[in-house]
Amino acid sequence: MPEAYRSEASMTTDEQLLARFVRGERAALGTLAERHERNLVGLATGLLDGRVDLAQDAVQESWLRVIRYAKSFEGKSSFRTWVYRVVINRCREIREKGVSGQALIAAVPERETPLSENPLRLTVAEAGLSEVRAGLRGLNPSARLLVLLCYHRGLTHSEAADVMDIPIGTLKSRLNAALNELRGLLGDSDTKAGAI
Amino acid sequence: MSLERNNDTMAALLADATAGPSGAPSLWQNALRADDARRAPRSGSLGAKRISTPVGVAVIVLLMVVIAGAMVPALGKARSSARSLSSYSEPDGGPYMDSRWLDRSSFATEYQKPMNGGAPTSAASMAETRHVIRKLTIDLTTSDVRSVFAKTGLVINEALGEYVETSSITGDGPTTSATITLRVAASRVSEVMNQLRSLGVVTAETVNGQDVTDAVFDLDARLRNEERIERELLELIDKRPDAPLKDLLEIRAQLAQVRGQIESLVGQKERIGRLVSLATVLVSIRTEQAVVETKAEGLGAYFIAGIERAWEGSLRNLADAAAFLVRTVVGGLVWWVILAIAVFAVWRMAKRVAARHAREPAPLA
Repeated sequence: MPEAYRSEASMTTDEQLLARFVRGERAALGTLAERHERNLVGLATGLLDGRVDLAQDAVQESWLRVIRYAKSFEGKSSFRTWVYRVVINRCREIREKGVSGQALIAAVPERETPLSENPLRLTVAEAGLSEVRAGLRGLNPSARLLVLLCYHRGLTHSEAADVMDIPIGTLKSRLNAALNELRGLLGDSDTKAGAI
Repeated sequence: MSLERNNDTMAALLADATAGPSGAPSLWQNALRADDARRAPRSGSLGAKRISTPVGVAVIVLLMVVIAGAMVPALGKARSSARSLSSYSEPDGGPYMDSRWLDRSSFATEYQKPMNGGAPTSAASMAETRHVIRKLTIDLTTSDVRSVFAKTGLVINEALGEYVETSSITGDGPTTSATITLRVAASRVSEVMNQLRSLGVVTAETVNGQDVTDAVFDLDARLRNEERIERELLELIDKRPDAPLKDLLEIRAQLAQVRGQIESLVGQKERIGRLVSLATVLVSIRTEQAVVETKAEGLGAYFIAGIERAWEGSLRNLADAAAFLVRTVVGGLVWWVILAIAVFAVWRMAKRVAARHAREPAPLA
């Protein structure tokens, strides 16, 4: 893409791009995809326990919804908030379908013993990505969503609060609680040693 | 320190867990293609652009109005001609076969009807007791007026009380014309008209019917009332044979008055009966040579006259169409308003549904 065009596209807001798409400019949707699709797939992958194929399905369905209802987008929230909500809700639908749930579980190695009873008490420092995912599975869905959203590179905490439609203070307090729960599941021995 | 490092590590791992794939985005293109496939017209369709629901409803309503506008006048004409045709139906012994009017002794049967005002109580009985005075006209053209004039007088059946009321013939040669008025039994009107039609070329024909049923029922009721009064007065005389002379004379005077009323009412009934039982047929006969000469005089004038008639007819049709539109729009204003409100409500509802779909709910926290 030429530099001049790129800088012009980056100056245009998401809402302006959406309006241009509604008027028939399909390339405007491409610009929106360049800005958000990668992050959306990443978030969906995190929500769907690393299943990239399901995450891509969820994001594609979300784009379809954006295309169909772009005309009716009232602009009460930002485009980013709207599209993130669409993706999160689509991921929830996939998880709730049951069959996909079983597939999600099968993608992650089963633990023989619960994390809290694991004598090795893996620390956060030594937990790999799969362990973090296993820990996230141990959280309730709301806490898991909160954690992934807040640590997602595409959103600030303020934007995450908009997506969840909660005050930022509430978001931070719930995030702390979720992180503590996650650390507990992951068995942070360094933290316990420091406390002692 | 280690806690910070652990936090940083977890933050990095969590960020990795939500990191997206590298490469150019392509899922949006798949979604666009899927949407295009959904919107594409199906094979065999006209490929017309999708019409929004309110516009489609409005177009359908407009089409219905136009079709109704074309059909309603035709239906109205069909209805009125169906009515006039049904009034011609005279089966044997039908409502117009009122031979009882020709026989005064049948009046006793009428007098013994229950005192309910004489009104029929069912639709079938209404059809049987309907009284209509019929007047018909027929214009004939023929090459031999005198011959047709003579034949016209022969269509009547004197045994049924039919007769020639008036007749006249004037002129000579191509200017000969005749009129004849026939009084024909109501049950034989169709038969007589068919015979008259066969005598020449029919150039005009009219039928008029005057429903006098109400008048007849009113006469019946008044007659019964007067008869009852007469009976009561006679009973009064019988019960009081030794009444004073003055009273007797007074009763007799009232009796005479009542009897006079009865006779008058009977007379009216007879007159109506004669009019109902015998239809009036006015026959006009002209020579057809006069028509031919008119044609020969000016074919050009005839053509122009035809054009003028067609022009006038088309203007009348245009006026009728405009009148219909005014009637439909103004007369149905209330319904147009209701329809507009309904269409607007449907459109708003559709818009709200779309907006609701677009308003993605926040994920539950």
